[in-house]
Amino acid sequence: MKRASLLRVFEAAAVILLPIALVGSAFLEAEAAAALSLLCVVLALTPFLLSFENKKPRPRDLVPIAVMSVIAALGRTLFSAIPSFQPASAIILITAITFGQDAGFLTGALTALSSNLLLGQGPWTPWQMYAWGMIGFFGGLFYRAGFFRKRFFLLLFGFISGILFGWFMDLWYVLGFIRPVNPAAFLAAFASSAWMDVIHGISTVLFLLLLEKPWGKKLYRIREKYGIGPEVKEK
Amino acid sequence: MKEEPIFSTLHPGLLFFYSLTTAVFAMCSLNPLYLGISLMAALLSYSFYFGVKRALHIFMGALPVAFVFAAFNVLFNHRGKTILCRLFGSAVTLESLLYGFCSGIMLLTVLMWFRCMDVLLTTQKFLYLFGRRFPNLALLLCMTLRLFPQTEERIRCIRQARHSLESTSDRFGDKIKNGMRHISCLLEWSMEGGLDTADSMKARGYGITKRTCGEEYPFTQKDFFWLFAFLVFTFLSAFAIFGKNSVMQYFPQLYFSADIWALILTAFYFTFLVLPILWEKISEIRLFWAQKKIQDRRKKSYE
Repeated sequence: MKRASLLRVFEAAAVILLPIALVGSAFLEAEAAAALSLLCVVLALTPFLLSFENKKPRPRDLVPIAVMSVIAALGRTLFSAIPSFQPASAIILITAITFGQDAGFLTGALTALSSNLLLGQGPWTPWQMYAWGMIGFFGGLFYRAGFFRKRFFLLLFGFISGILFGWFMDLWYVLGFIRPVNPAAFLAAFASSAWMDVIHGISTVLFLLLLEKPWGKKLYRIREKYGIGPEVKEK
Repeated sequence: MKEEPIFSTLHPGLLFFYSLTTAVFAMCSLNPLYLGISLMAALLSYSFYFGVKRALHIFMGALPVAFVFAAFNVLFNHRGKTILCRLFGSAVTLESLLYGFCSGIMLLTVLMWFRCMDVLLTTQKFLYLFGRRFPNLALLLCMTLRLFPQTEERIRCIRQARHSLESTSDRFGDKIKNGMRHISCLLEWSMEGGLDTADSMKARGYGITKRTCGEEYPFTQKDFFWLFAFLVFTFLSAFAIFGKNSVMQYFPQLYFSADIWALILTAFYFTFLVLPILWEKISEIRLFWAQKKIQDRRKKSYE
């Protein structure tokens, strides 16, 4: 129990410290920034994965995560002809809403990992794992806090998360490969990818509109039938 | 891709260490001396694993990225003393152009090392390495990998089953409707199937003892030798990359220096990077001579 709460603290620390560490390494002009920032992201991923491992989930708790991330990954490759138009973020969000933030994080991380098996792994994989994981994590967290009671806020979150995902993915090359890192470089990178990010946001909203109700119902049924998910476990 | 290189008969831990080191070293070297060595070795390794054609293909495909990075740097980085020209009222400097180009090349190199890592460290070996320490994450990864081919097969089945039921018109709305229905069949099928499997795993006692792996990779004497070799080479290469024997400074003015030690260390670094190829080629030559010896002996006995 103690270890679990300790890992929770580490999770919070990972969320808060990662941007500070990234920006810090940029402005201190650390040598080998590409390797350093990658290390930061991998370190930020660890507490989430460890706390999942620590909870000793039953095999059936893993099934929705695996199935949803495979569907998200296949959906991403299916639409990969249209840049950054993909259903993955929406599917991750739906999973996070039904099965809780931890499942959301893992679905996001696994989606990035497994879809890159098809599209090509690279130094960006941990970054995508973290970014999608965060979409799932905060989606689940906000849902439990009751922010998404009005559907509009869910769609808004979907749109914003698409844009934030793009910004986070801009960071990996700005931090690693552009010197010196100044606000102008950041702004330029954000501006050059703004179009892509907006498409990502819009596609997330579209797929949420299309999938949220029918899939939400289905997943809810499976959750109740098999007793998976956060609410059921606490009893 | 051709058959497995001899190098991948090593213990998975060593392979993980080796492929991670090659990528990280490439990520840490902006010095053109080490960057060039790493790029050359990456190209060689890539053509060794995948064939020359694909190596050239990925190289030509990724080269524009290097130019994009150079352009990006030039536009937003005005440090450096050698002004080439003025664009939109701000200086375009040689230093920032070169810096951007080198970082683009570095990205390309890292990318190729990652691809080579895929060959050496297959998923099976990866799961062997980390599966016992993290059994639940390993199971999750296993499930996902299994689901990919299964899902494709299921989509095919669903399509066939629903083919005669659905309207075959090319209208966009109909297509979306059919697609949605297929996907929702797939979702239910995969979920329920997966949950059944998981339950039956549980019923048969999954998770009671430690996780085992289909294939065992014992750590042999040969692996000890190679571990030692890797450590020596890694140490020397790290000394080269992080040491001050060869210095490249981009800003404010281009400055490059390398002494004789830097060249010696570079030779070690290059040897480290092409170890898999060297081993393969040496064993091929040894095989050739051994075969020749046998043939000669046969000829003699015939005479």
